[in-house]
Amino acid sequence: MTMTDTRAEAGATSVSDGPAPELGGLAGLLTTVDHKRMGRTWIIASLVFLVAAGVMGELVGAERLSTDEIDILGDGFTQSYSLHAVAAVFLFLLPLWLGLATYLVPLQIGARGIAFPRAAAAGLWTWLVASLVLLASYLADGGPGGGDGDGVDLWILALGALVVALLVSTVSVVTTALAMRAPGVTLARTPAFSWAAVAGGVMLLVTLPLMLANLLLIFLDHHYGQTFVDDSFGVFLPLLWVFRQPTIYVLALPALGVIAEVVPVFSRSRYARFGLVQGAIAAVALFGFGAFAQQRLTPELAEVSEEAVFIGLSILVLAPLLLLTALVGDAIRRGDPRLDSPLLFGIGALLLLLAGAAAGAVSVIEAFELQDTTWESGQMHLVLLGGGGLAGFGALHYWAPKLWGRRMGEGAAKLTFLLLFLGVVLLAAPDLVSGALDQPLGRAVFEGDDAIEPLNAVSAGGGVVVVLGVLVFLLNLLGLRRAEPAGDDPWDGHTLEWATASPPLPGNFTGPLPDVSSDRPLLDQSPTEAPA
Amino acid sequence: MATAMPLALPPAPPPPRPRVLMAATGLSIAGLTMFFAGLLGTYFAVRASAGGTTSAWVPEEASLPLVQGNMALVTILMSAVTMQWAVYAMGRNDRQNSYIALGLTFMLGLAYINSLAFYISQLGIGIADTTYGVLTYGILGAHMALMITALVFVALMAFRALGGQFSAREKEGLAAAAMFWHFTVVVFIGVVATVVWVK
Repeated sequence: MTMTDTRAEAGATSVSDGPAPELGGLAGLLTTVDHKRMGRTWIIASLVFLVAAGVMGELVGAERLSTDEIDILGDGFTQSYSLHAVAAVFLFLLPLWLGLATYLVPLQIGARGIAFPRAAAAGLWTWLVASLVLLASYLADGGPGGGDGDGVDLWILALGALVVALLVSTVSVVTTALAMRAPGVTLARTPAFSWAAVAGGVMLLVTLPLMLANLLLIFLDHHYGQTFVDDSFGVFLPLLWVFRQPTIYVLALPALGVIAEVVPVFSRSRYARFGLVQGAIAAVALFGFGAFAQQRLTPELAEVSEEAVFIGLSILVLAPLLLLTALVGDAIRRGDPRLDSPLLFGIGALLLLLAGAAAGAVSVIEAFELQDTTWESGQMHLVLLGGGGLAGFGALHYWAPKLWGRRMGEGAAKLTFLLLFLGVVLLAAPDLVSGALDQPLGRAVFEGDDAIEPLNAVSAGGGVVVVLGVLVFLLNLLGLRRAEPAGDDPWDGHTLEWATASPPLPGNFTGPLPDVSSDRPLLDQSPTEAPA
Repeated sequence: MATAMPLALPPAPPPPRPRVLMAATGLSIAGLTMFFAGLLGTYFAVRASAGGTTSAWVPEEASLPLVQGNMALVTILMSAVTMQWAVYAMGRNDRQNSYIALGLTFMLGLAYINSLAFYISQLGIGIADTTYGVLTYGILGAHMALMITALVFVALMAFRALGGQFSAREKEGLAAAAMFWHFTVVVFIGVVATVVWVK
């Protein structure tokens, strides 16, 4: 028997996943080993940190409004730029994915809990504390552009602790999916979101340790003598590869799982070949392997962006995305789609992700000279905010009944989608154009075309629209308190998480699980449906 | 009329075990492999950009004793043998030998740390002096931290073994600890080859 064929029920004694009584209130939250409470905490905290990322994003936008220097923080752009990037990825997007995965993966695979729940809890709280310390380090004149050496050290240490915490929690989630699946839930039948969580998790496990290695060397050098990294912005330069292609595709990968999950449910159909969906997601994960692209640890090292592997991966990633688009389109065509908000979010995220991947493929064509320009910023926003963020919000709308027992307001949800989609387009498209006009990436002051100032103004306006979309979402989320209970399966879902109460009781499943003979066990049980 | 013999079915196969700890250990090893690959890769990349030869890269005042480095390697290689001995013995329900092997492994692990600490004390350069110092201290220190983690893992599994939780049929925890230990040994071979032999 291989590792991936193991079954959940046999592990009940070795994994503390039973419905042990837990404390209530804050003490209960701090000591919980229930994956559902941990998942919700990840999600709520990531949404709070999104505010920090958004504010910093607006500062970046404001500092670029004129080609003359506008230095709001008095730091030469470094602090706002680095905090925006770090907060968006490590305080919002990855924690949001981890929160959703921590909550949903055990439910989707029919497990009664998560593997190593205490390690998962340690990861959550370490991440939360490290995130607060990281933000505090900026206030202590730290951060990569800070003037206080101890503050810069604090920033490096906090980021390192944060990455370790994310890795520990990722191991917990991926192990759950690999080793605790219920009878019948083979890897080939693992639902799309859980599959994407595994693929993305594995890629994070082989990518983020490289960042950790960078951080170790940067810390030793910065703390003891600065022979290696010669100025404070240099502290951030060796980490820039994490925020650029191809790594950004791994950061956004769970978005593909969300898209692949919601389309059949709201199209009332199934994929002709689910294996191809899984293959496309795995291929994007593989092509998103960017750990080799650390071009900036020292200035002497060659520019990776000119290497064949980098160029090849940047172009190849389009192929599985196009395949997934075709499969999604086919499922919609063969079904009877209802345009509820999760489907809108899913389709919108896929379109923006495709646009981002196309922009990435164009950027590696040397003749266009788009590297290190704001073209890359536009691409990052399309992939991470457009693909990742939009799908993340779509996931919250789709699984809100399972997370909180209530449905979010549909009108507000559609307004959120509209604002976020338009906002991302307005944010990213001008950056692509200004990048083509040679506006440099990561600098507020430059000489360039007269058209760049208005383009930057439009981009900043797009950021404001995104913020409005997030505000509508948060108000809708707060409105959940007044919403009616949604019932166990308000969407006629296809996967196992919809076969239990909303939200699930401790132990997840009170009765026997449905028979699993395909990737859509609940759809198989429908009297009008049969497995494909 | 002959009396019908009762038909007895063979015993049911044991339920498939969830190899949760093995899976998590494997995933952790994958991540740690990349961590050390990053450190060693950076070492070679920076070394190449500094001239690519030992004389151009290693500061003159640095002392890189082969004996101490190789002693640390031999020590850790011996510990790999004793670790596997512990798993093998447990696989035969030979608890006594398993306990002895675990104890020896733990002692050899401590001896390795002592040996590596002595090696570092002989280097003759500070962390901050050169880029070479940053990388060398970073790599050696990271491996020492890895070994401490492996020691904690083995100690936990040894306590579980002493508590009677492992047997020939159920020794996953011990096997996972052994897998992690062997990984630690393999990484050190790479570290020695980089820092001590190639320089």
